[in-house]
Amino acid sequence: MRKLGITGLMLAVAIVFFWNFIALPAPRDWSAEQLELIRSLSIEQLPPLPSDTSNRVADIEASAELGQQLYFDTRLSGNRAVACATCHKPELMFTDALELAVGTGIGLRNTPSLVGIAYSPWYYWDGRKDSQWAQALAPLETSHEHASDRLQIVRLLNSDTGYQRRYAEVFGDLPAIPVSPISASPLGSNEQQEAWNSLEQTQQQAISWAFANVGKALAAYQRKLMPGSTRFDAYTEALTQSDEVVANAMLTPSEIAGLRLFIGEAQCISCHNGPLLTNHEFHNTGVLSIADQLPSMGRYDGIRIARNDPFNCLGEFSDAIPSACVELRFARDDNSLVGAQKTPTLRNISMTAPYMHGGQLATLADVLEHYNEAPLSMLSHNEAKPLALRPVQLRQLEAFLRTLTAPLATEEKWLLPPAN
Amino acid sequence: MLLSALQASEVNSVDLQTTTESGISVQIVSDMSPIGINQIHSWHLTLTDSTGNPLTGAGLTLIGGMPDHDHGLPTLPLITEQAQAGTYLLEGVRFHMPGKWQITLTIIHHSGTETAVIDLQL
Repeated sequence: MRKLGITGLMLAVAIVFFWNFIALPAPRDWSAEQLELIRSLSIEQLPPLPSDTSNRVADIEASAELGQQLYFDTRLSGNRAVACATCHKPELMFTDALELAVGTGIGLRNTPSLVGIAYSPWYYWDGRKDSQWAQALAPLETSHEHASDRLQIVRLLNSDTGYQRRYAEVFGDLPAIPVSPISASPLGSNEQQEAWNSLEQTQQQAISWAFANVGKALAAYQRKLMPGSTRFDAYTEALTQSDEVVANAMLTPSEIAGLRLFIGEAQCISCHNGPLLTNHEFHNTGVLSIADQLPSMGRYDGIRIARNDPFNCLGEFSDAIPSACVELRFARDDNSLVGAQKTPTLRNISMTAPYMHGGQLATLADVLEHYNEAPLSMLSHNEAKPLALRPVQLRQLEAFLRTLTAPLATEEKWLLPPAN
Repeated sequence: MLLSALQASEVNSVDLQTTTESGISVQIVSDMSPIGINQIHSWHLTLTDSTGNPLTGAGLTLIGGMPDHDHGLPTLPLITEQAQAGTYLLEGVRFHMPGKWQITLTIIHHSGTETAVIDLQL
C-alpha cells in the first residue's frame, strides 16, 4: 500500500510537472493557411498611411513641425507642467507605465500608445473621437489632463512669435483675441462657459477654428510615429523567402510555438489581426471595472459622444466632404457594444505595461491568464471564451508577444522636443 | 434561399455573385478587391431578374456576420439605388476578423421578398 502511495504521488508530481512545464513537440511545417495568416501580421503588409480628408494639413511637413513643438510644450496646460509628452512618453512607446494617466490630476483611463494609431478610424478606448486631430483637442480642455482651454491656448500661440510664424505658415494668420476674458470654453467650468458665452459668435468661431488647427498640427506630428520592423517581421520575411534555416534563427522554438497558438488555438488573431495586430474595433473581454469607477459602457457611449462632437468628421471644423465620413456615417451603435473597449496594437506591447483600459492587468502574464479564464463580464457579456491553455502554452504566447518590439521606424528628430 | 460559394470571376472583376430561388442574379464588384479585413469600403451591386432584365426599384438590405463567432459586421452598411437601371451602391462595409463570413442580402421587389446568402472566406 505504502509503495503504491509513493508511486501514485510520484505520478501525480510527474503529471503536474508535465502539465505546467513540458511543451508537446510542435509540427515542423506551417500549412499554406497558417503561412497566409502569419504573413498578414507582417509589417511588410502595412499599407501607406491613408490620408485623413478631415485634416487638410495632415501630411504637410510644416504642420508636423508645429505639431511637434506643441506636443512637447508644457505651456499648453493650466499649471504649465503638462504636455502631451507627459503621458505619451517617447521613451515608453508613447505611454507612461502608469495604471491611470496623471496629468494635472489623476485620469480615468490608461494611456494608450500612439505608435501606428494614425491607422485607426477611432480614438480613445471607447472610440469617442473619429479623428486624430479631434482626439488631440479633448485632453487640452479636460480638467484632470491639461486643464487649459481653447482661449488660453490660442492666446499662448498669439503671444509667442515662433508659434505665430509657424502657425501662419500652415494656416494663415492667427485670429485676434480679446484681452479679457483670460479663460473661456464652451466646455469646462461654469465660469469658463459663462466667459465663452460673453464672446461674440464670430470671436467664438475664430477661436474654435484656431483651436481645431492646433489639433490638426498635433495630428500631423503624431502621424509620424510608426512601428519598426521586429524579430517577428524578420522571421516572416525569411519564411516568405522559404528560408527555414534563417527563419528558425530569428525566433526560438518557444516563440514559434507561441505564434502557432496566437494564430490558432488561442484565437488572439481574431481581434489582434493585420500588420498592426489590431482590428481597430471594440470588444467586451470581461475586464474588471476600474477601481472606484462604475463599469464603463465603452463603445456604446463612445459612438454617441462621437456623433455629438462638434469636431467630428461631419462637423464645421472638418475639411472632409460629408460623403467621405464613412466610418462615422455607418458606425454601429447597438447593445452589443456595451462594455466594449478598443483593441490595442500588440506592436511594442512588452514596453507598454500595464494593460487594459484602466491598466488593470500589470503584466503580459496577467493578460494571458485573463484570456485563459475569460471571466464573466460585469456589463453585458464577455465575447471571449475560456481557452484552457496549459501554463507552458501561456509562457510560449508571452514569448511570442515579446518578439513584437522594435525601435520605431520614425526619424530620431521626431522623438525629441524640437530644437527650435 | 440559395447558398452560393465565393466565386472570384476573371471578367469584370466580379468579387461575389449569387442567384436567388426565383432566378434574380446578384453580382458584386468591391472597391476593395480582393476583399480584405479592417478597411471600410463600398460594393457595387448589379441585379438582373430571371429573364436577364435589370431589376429596378428593389429595396435591399444587407446584414453579415461570422457564424462561428456569433457576431455581426462592425458597421451598419446601407444600400441605395443608383441612376443606372439595376445597379445599387452599398456603402460602409468592413470586416474585422479573418475567417468565415456570411452575408445575407434581402431583396424586396414587386413580386415578393427573397434572401440571398453569400459565404466568403477572409
